[in-house]
Amino acid sequence: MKATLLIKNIGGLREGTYVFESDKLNIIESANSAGKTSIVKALTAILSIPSDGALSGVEALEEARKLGIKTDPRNPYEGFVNVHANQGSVELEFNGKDEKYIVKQNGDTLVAPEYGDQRFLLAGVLSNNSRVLRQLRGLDKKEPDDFKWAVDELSNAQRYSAIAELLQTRKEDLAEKRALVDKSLKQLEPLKQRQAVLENELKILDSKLDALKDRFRESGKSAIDRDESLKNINRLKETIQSKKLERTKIDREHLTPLLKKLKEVETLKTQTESELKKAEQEIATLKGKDARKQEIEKEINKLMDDRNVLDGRLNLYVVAETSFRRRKEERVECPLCMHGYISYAGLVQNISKYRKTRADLNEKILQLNQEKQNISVRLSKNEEKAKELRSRLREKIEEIGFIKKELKTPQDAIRLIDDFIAEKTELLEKEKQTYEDLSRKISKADDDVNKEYNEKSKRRSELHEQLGGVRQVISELSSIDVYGMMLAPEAARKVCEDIVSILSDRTDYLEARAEEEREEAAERFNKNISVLMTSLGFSEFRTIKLVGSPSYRLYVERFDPEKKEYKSQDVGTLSTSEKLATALILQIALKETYMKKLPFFILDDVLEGFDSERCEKVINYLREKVKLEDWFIIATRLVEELDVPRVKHL
Amino acid sequence: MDRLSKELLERLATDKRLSDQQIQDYIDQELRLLAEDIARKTTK
Repeated sequence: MKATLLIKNIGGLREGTYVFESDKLNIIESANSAGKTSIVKALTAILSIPSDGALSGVEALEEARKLGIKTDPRNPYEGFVNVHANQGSVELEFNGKDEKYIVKQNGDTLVAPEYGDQRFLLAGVLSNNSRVLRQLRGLDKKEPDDFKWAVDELSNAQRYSAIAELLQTRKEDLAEKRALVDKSLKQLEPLKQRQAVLENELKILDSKLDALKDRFRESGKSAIDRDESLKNINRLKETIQSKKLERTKIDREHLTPLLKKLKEVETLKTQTESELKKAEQEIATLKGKDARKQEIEKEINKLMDDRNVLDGRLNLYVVAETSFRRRKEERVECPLCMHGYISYAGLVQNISKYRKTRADLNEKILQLNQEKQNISVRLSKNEEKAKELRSRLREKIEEIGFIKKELKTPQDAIRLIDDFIAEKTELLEKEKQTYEDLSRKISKADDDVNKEYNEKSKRRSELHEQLGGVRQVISELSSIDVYGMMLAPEAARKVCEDIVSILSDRTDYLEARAEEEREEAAERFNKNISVLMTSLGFSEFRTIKLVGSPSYRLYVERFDPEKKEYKSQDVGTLSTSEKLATALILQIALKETYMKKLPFFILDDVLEGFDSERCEKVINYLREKVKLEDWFIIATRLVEELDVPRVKHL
Repeated sequence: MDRLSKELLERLATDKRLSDQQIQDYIDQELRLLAEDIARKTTK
């Protein structure tokens, strides 16, 4: 069977492919710092990094750093990934498997191998930095003979112990919880007593407050009456106000316009009366002028008589004149007297005189007639006017009567409203008085009851607050969180007790199983060591074994050539080569015991530690082993002239 | 089925595929169920 290892940017190697054979001893040869250990590191990493990419536990991480497959933060330039690369990769093909491990410079895993087992770090590699050799050389924190870790970490004992420890932790948590429950129960009793006292006091206080409330209700009754009185006052005010508005409306819209109209009509009536009176006076005056009219008529008659006389004389003179002009006489008989003569000039003069007089008479008659007519006209006019005024006066009187009749409606309405307002105003005053009386009464009652009520209420608040606090604490103590369930203390105690009991049983079981595993592992281990010692020809040692459960110390019996007997020897006092030989036996035994199924075993810088005779024996043993077990055993060997590592198959 | 049985503990201890965290989760889950069972019986 062959296994091919492909490396890129691991340690000092940039790239390389190495083939190992399972029925040969694989020796990696090169000069110092040429890449032997880088190949060993790559192979160790791909065989030990778990499938989740993360080593678990402090011990495994420490071992990984010692073997150089995890970069030590204190020395980053000697890291697992080549210092010049961002990431390194390892690929291992064997037995139909193709394992890959790709890791970043900072140690973060990008691709993890599928079958890696971190126990390989302890069981599968022997080098100057591996645990077994470190410990035997006194370079580890553990004592050289303390190999309990081997039976613990490489067997199932560690898993059993780890689970037992976990259960023990949970048991301790529950024991603490149980103690808390007991403490809660202890605290609850006095708190419940205190709660009862407070509740009782509160009950009494409530009863007293109820009594005060009754007194309040009495006072409240007056208060209700007072409120009712206030409502009445408001209602009355509203009613009065409403009526006043109604009154104003009637007054403005009906009464005032009518009164205004009445006043106007009365003014007109007075004026008409005045005018009528004046006209009647005028009529009376004109009527008083009748005598004058008669005088005028008489005068006119007389004047007309005079004019008639005058007209007769004038006519005579005109005829005489006409005749005179026709006959052209120097003189003519006097037309009036007929016995004397009159000259023409005298005739003309008389005609003129008569005519003038007639004109004067006419004028006078005209004047008199006009005077007479004037009186009549004026009288007539005044009578006409008086008639009209009387008619108008009648109209006004009728109108006044009508208006007064109309006025009655709003006046009656206003009178009714005024009466209503007066009545309500009187009621309002009485209600105000009632309100003041009730207010005085309530004020006094309230002062007394309020004072007492406030005191008791204050105390009640205090009690409630105290009770609330007590109830809160009781509630908190009465509800205990056990695995997310809020349980009463008794139930919580029962749960804790039962689980603690079960956990005790299981812890005992697991510890017993761990011990069984250790004993079995130690037995297998010791058996393997015994076989190995014989195979490798370590005749100076009769016994190398782990003894003393549960401490598992390495016990060595070595042949004393002087005394010619085997006697026990402290591991720390063995020689360097003896320690190396013991380490080889232990390491192969660890591999045989715990990792038999993983067919790889690595020896780095180990062979050079043996003398040539022992080295040959070891090589022969290993060559036999690979043939028997079908393992890949890989060892390194210094060959100064080789700058590039190579794999030699023996 | 018994809670936190020895069979379960055996399985947890020997199944190499289980991580420490998974084992802890299994056990805590069993303890919770166990607590619920006991509480249920106690408060009946």
